Amino acid sequence: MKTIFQKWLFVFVLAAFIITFLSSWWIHSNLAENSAVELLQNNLDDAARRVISTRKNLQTIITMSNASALAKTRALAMMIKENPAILNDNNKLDDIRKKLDVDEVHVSDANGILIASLAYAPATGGVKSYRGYDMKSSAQSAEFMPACTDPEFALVQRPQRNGVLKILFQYAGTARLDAPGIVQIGYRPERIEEASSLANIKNIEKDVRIGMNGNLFIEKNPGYREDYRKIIRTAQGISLTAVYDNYLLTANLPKEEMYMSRDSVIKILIIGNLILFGVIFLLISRLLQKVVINGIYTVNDSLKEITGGNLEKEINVTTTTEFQSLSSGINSTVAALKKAIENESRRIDAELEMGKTIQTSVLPVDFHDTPNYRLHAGMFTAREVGGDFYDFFTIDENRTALLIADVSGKGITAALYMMNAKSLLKELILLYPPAEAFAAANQELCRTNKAHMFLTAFLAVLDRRTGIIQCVNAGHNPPLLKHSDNSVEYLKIKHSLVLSASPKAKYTAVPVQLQPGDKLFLYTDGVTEAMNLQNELFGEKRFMETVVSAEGSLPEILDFIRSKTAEFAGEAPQNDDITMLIMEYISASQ
Amino acid sequence: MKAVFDKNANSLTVSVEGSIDTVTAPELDSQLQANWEGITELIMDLAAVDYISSAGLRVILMANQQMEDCDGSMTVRNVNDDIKEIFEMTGFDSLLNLE
Repeated sequence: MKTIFQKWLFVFVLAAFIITFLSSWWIHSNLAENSAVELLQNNLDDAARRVISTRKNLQTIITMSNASALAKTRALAMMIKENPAILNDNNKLDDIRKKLDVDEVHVSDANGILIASLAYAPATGGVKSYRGYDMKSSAQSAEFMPACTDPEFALVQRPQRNGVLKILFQYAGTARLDAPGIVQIGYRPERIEEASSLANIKNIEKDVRIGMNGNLFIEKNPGYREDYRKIIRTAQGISLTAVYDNYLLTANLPKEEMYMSRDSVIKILIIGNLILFGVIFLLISRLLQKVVINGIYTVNDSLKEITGGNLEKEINVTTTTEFQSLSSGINSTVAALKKAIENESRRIDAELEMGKTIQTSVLPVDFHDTPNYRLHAGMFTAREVGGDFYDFFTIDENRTALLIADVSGKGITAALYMMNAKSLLKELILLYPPAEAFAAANQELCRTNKAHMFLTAFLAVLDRRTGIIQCVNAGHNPPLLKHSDNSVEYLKIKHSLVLSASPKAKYTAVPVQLQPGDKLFLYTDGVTEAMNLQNELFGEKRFMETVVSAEGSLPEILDFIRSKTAEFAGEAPQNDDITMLIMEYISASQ
Repeated sequence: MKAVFDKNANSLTVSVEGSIDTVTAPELDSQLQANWEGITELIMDLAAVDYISSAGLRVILMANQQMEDCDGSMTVRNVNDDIKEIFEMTGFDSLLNLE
C-alpha cells in the first residue's frame, strides 16, 4: 500500500510541480513581454522627445542665426550709405568684414554686377575678390536679384555646400540703402551645423540605448497616420513602432534580453519548487507512514495475534479518529466473539457436567462393612466424561457381585451407553450365573449397538460361604490380588472378548479361592495408562509396586494409589477416568 | 499416526504407523471409509503401531464388522508384542484373524 500511495503522491506532486512551472512560465512570459513593451515605449517616448526638442532647437538657432545675419547685412548697408567710399577701400571693407565676423561681403550695382567683393580664402590664407561677378549668372546668387528693385527685400538662404570649398556656407542679403543694388554677406553657419548635427536622427539612433543590446531606428514619416502604433513579435525578439510628429520610430529588443528576468525567475522557481515539493513529498510520506501505514501494520499484527487465538489482545491505534473507530470496532467484535465462545464453552461445560452427573449418580456409594468383606470404590473422572463404572450388589443371601467396566469412547454417548449397560448387566447378573449373564448381556448389547461401541468388564461374584470368587473377564484389565503376606499377583484368568463386539463371543467363569486378608483390586485402564509429560504409562508394574506399598484402611489405600498416579502424571492432563474398586475378604460366613 | 493405503482390485492393505488413540482413531476411520468401496479383502498391517487405545480398537472392530457384513475377510498382520498384549487382554485375539 505504501508503494502505491507513494507512487500516487509522486504523480500528484509532479503534476503540481508541472502546473506551477507552466503557470509561472506563462505569467512571467506575459510579464516579461509587458515590461519589454513598456521599456520600448519609454525609450521610444524619450527618443521622440529628443528628436522633437533637437529639431526645435535647430529651428530656434536657425531663426536666431538668420536674424543675426540679416542684422549684419543691414548694418553693412547702413555703413555704405554713411560712407560709400568704403566700397573702393578694400582694407576698410576687410576691416568691416572682420568686425561683422563674416567670411564674405559682396555689394552689387543695380544690375547685379558686383562692384565691391571680399571673400575669405582659408586655403590661401588671404582674401579674394569677385568684383565684376554677375549675380544673375547662377541660380543661387540670382535669388538675391529682387533686392535691386525692392528696397524692403531681405533673404537668408538655407545653408548649402559651397561648390569650391566643400563646406557648409550660408548667404544673407538685403537691398542697398544708398543706391539700388545688393548687399550680401556670406558665412559658415557653425552653430547651425552643430545644432543640425545634434538634430541628426542618425546620431540620435546611435545615442539612444534600448536595454543592453536593443536598437532604435528613426525615419522621416513615410506616410503613416499620426496615431500609428504597432507591436511586432518575431523569432529574434520584440519591436515597437510608433509615429511621433513626422517621425516613425522603431525600437527593437532581442528575445534573450526580453526573457532574461523570466528565465532567471524560472530558474529560481525550479530550484525552489524542487526543494519545496521534495520536502512536501517526504513530509506527506512520513506522515502517511506515521498516521496510516504504522497504524495498519499495528492493526494487522494485532489481528494476526487475535486470529492466532489470543482473544485477550486489544487493538489500540489512536493516531486518527478513523483508526480509533476501527480499533474499537475490532475490539468490540473480538469481545463479542469472546463472549460467544465463553457462552458456548459454558454450554459445553454444562453438557460435560451433565454427563459426569449421569455417570456418577448411578454409582453406589454405600460401602457397608460386612462380617465377610469390606468394600471401597472411587472414580476420578477426566475433564471429558468417559464411560467407566463400577457396581456392587448382593445377588442373594450368599453371593455378592463386584463389577467394573469401561465403555469405549467418551462424551454423552458413552455416558448414556454406560447407564444402559450398567442396568442391563445388573439385571442379568441377578438372573443368571456370571458367564451366562455376560453372554446374555453381550447378545443384547450387540443387538442394539449402532454406534459400534463396546465395553470391557470384569465380574467377580463372591460366595460368602466359601470365599470363592467366580470371575468373568470380558477384555478387561486383569485384577490384582494382594495377599495378607503382602505378596501380589495379577489374576490372569482367561480373557474373553469385550462386550458388544461380537454376538459370537463366548464367556467363561473361572473360580478363584480367596484367603482371609486377601484384597482384590479391580481397576480400569485409567490407572495403568495414566500418562506423564514424557508420554510414559504408569503401567502394571508400577501399579503392582504401589499396591504392595499401600497400607491402612481401604479408603486410605485408594487415596494412596490415586495420589501415586497423580504424582506420576505430574503436569500432564488426565485423559481417562480413573476407577477402582477394592474388596478385602475377611472370612467365610458360618 | 500415518496410514498408507495400497489398493489392489478388491484387496486393500493398510499399513499403519504410530499410535491409534482417541485423537488419531477418527482420522484412520475416515481414511478407511474413503477407500472402502468394493473391498472384500482388508489387510491391516500393524507392524509399526506402538499403541492402540479403546478408540483404536473400536475402529478395528468396526472394520471387522463391516467386512463380515459384506462377506469379506479381514486379516491383521505383523502384530507386535505390545499390541498383541492389548488384543489378548481385550479378547480381540479371539475375534480377529491374526497372522
